[in-house]
Amino acid sequence: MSASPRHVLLVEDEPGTMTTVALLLEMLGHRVSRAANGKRALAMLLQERPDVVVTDYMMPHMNGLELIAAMKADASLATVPIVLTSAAMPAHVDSQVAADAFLRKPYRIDELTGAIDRALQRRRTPPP
Amino acid sequence: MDQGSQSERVAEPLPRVSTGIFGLDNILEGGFVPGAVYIVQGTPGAGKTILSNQFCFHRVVQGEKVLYVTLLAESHSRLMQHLSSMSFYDASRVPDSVFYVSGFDDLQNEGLQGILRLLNSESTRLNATTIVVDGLFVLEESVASEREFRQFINHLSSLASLLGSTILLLTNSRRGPTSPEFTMVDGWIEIGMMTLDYRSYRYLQVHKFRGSGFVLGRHMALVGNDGFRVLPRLETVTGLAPNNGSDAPPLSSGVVELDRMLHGGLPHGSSTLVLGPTGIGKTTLGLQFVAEATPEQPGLIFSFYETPARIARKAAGVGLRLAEQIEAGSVEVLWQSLTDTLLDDIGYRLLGAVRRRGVQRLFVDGIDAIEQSSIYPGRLAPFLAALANALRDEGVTTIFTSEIPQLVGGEAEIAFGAVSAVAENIMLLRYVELEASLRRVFSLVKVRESDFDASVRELSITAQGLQLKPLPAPMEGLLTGHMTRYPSSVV
Repeated sequence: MSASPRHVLLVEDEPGTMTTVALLLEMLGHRVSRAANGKRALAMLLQERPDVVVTDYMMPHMNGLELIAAMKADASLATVPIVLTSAAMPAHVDSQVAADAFLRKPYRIDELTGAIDRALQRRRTPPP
Repeated sequence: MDQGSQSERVAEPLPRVSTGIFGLDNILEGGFVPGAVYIVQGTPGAGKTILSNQFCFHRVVQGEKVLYVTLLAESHSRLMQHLSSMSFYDASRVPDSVFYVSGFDDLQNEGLQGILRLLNSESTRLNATTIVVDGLFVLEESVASEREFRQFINHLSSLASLLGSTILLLTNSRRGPTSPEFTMVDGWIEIGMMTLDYRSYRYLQVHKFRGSGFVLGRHMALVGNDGFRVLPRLETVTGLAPNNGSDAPPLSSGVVELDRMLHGGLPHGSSTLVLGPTGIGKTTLGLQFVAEATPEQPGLIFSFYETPARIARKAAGVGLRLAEQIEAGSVEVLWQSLTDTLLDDIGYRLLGAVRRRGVQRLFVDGIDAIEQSSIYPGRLAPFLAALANALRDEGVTTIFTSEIPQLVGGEAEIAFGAVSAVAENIMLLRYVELEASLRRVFSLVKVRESDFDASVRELSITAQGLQLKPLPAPMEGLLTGHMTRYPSSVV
């Protein structure tokens, strides 16, 4: 479990998954903002300034990888830690490289909080 | 302009996309039509999701891409977990070729227009030619009026046509055929479940299919690890018209004396019905027939009652080296369980095994077991006629056995109709009381377009197989089971 409450931007197109994951994170003390796809998430990021983004890959309009690419291209968003989740990833993508942490769906909530911690830790640790 | 050629012009058949679902292309006369919209309707658990995903992954194997839009609460990861046990599912194709997205947010924020925009933008972005919308009933529930829903279906049809995509709409709605979606889409397929007595069955029925004919009525369906299989009623696929037989030389029955009585052997490509009570030698006769198989003329034993091991032992008991032939591949034994078996499943399994090895000699033991698999007794005769005809078309010479309930005496009744369509040749085996002992007797009743020896023979089962020999004296009463000598004045 994460040591301190965080502001999480949860990007997820499946309503059931969105509701359940958000509820569980909130029960653990986190604050959760919600976006149904990458395009909505990108619009929210500048206003919300979350501590971490947890994004699904397969979403309409803008998928998770497109969101990550857009965040990296924007200097003001490039430092936000990202957890990528998906049941499947494109063959050409190394999921461990694409984001700060990757989690294969379906996952348990402790696996998600662990991935959030890893993503935050990775951003705190300066590159060698 | 050449008026004559115009009047004789034949309409071009519509292009089709194969569904990859066993039996469905036969029912649809080729598959779905590109640029068309189809409703797949069924109760929860009927198999809509499996059928549609199987279609998707089949299209992917053909080099296409698929957009799968859900409007339900079920997560895609759970869906993929459930599909992972299916042989058609290929995880490596997700998400590069099969892309699962939820349309829930677009529906909630922008209504039906949002869904249309989503389908257009995502299918274009992915270059998808197959689109599945899982949860049409959610769209129905979200509209304010039937008119709005009718407009949506109309726009969806235009979209499918413009994109050249095949769109499947999955729904568990119980709305009827007069609802706008059913009148406006290009096709309507129902998948259902029914329970008769204590057994439940899946079925598929096409109610509507624009652009071509289709096989009407209900067809039984199965869901297994190999996915969704539809079993088009055999008589609708193979037809009922008898073929014209074969001019090839007759096949040995495997019993020397019987070949003499047949004046050479069993007519090539014919079907023979061997009637007799239990234990009289019907199976032995069939085994001797199949034991004549060679690698060039393969044989198949399709048994309901006896397992392959038991059949091999029985064959060895009458001097047949069936085990060696099975080992060498000239003979195959398929055992068919009688538990929860569908009539058409038996037919397709049998025909599949015949076609796979080019079987020439087939022994089906016995036809009564097929009768037990018939849900509707009225279907048995046309089914058997179609099966026999399909076997003739394959050039197979077949022996069917049928059990007579009476051990001794009584009429030799055949339990099913359409005997002429099923069997051109009939052999009758009976126990008779003769000179204070129980004997077996044999007679040819009918042989296709051929003269034959109709005399009654005594039948014995020896370590060298069946033997037929003349009766000790002229007798009569085979059919009654109580044989008596002819009166001396007649002899």
